[in-house]
Amino acid sequence: MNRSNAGTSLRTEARMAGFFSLLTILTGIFAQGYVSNTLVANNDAATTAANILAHKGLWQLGYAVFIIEMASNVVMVALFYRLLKPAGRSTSFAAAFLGLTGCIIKTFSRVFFIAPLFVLGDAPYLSVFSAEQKQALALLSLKVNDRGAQMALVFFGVYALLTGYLIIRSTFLPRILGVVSAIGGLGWLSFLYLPLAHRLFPYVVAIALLGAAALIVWLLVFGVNEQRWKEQAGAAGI
Amino acid sequence: MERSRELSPRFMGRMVLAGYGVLVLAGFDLFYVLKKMVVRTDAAATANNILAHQGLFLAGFAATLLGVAAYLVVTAFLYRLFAPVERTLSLTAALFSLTGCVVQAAALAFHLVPLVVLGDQAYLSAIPLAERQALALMSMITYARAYNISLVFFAFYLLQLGYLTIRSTFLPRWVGMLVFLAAGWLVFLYPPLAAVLFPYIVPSSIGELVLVLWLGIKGVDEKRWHEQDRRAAASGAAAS
Repeated sequence: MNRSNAGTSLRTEARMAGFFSLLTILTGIFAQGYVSNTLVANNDAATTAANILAHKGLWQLGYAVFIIEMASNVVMVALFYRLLKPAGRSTSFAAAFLGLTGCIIKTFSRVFFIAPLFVLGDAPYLSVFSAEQKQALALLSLKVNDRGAQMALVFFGVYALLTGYLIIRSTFLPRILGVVSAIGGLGWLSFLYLPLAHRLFPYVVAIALLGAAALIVWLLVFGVNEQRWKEQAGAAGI
Repeated sequence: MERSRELSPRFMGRMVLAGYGVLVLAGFDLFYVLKKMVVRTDAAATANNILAHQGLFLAGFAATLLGVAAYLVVTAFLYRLFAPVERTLSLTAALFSLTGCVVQAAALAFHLVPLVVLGDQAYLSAIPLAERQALALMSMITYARAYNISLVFFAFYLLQLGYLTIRSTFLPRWVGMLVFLAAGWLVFLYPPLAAVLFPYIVPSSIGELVLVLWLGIKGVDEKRWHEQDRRAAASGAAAS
């Protein structure tokens, strides 16, 4: 095998897909679950503003980690595209585009996460607004950030559905991983109707995380069945 | 021969240079129009500048949008040019650039907001002029922040292109090393650092500039490019 020109080996790519999925989840949990959830007081603009200003460094770190989360997610999308291509070339391509769209929407909404820092700042031009108005604008911006991220979840939902379908069709990964991924994807679709999403959220997250964890562990420990991957790739003319 | 239907790597390199040229022209917005009009500490002055030179302001907007379009073309050709080296990585790189481009294009909505909010429509009279001016400046600052997000993705993009250049058989290694300078743009992960270092970061683009000039003027070593492309195709990583 001419390794230098075949690109990285399949085993390495499967491991990297697992690694970047893990990185995406961990960075997301830190920035959203820790930084954002501890500093943002829901519906209390004054407390939220005070928290952010008192922990500027942490807030900025949260922002950087959010951006790294999305960079990692983009790598993950590319690697899964390549890994699942033999199971369905066009489906895999469509999945990659949906995943990328989710990434871009989520990346862009992060500008509304960093905006409170300059809205709450003391630049002279801001003096036309009262402190309460600035605090309200900051919280409003954070709400827009949330809505943006929630929109992205719908795209990630369809992405997980298609990925699940491809895993089920594949000969080189256990079907059960595909089934769990597809069920997790269905859960994210609840974000099409926010009141429903708010009721189901704990279950949706639990199922999706379980499915993702199973897939990640499998990819990191076992990778894919290389022999069968090559067979299916050959049969698909890839 | 089927391959001959494809564009030659020389031609693709020239297209990259052409697209990059449009992008450099788009710098007219950032380095001239916005620099002249946006006064970060003075909302009233900013608003007056924008309203007094609406045509120039809109030309700057159009230039940036055109620059994004050109960079999408650059991205597509660079993807194909580097696919023979490592296809998956070349794709990942292209997805990073695409993310940066779309973020920048979406950010441009904030570039237009000042003209809306400073307009003289009746419904706007509910908001005092001073507040509308502040909103307009806030929108331009939001634009700058969103633009900065795209720079992080372009930094990751260029780091991958640098690696691909070094691993390629058809471009000089030192060009790839220079492209690695783009790591400087990563300071935009931490905005306060970026604010302090900005003037020193601009040279980070030197490597990218050298790569593009090399591709467009000197061109890749075509024989070797085709060799690497054929080998990649034979080993199952074919670019189609």
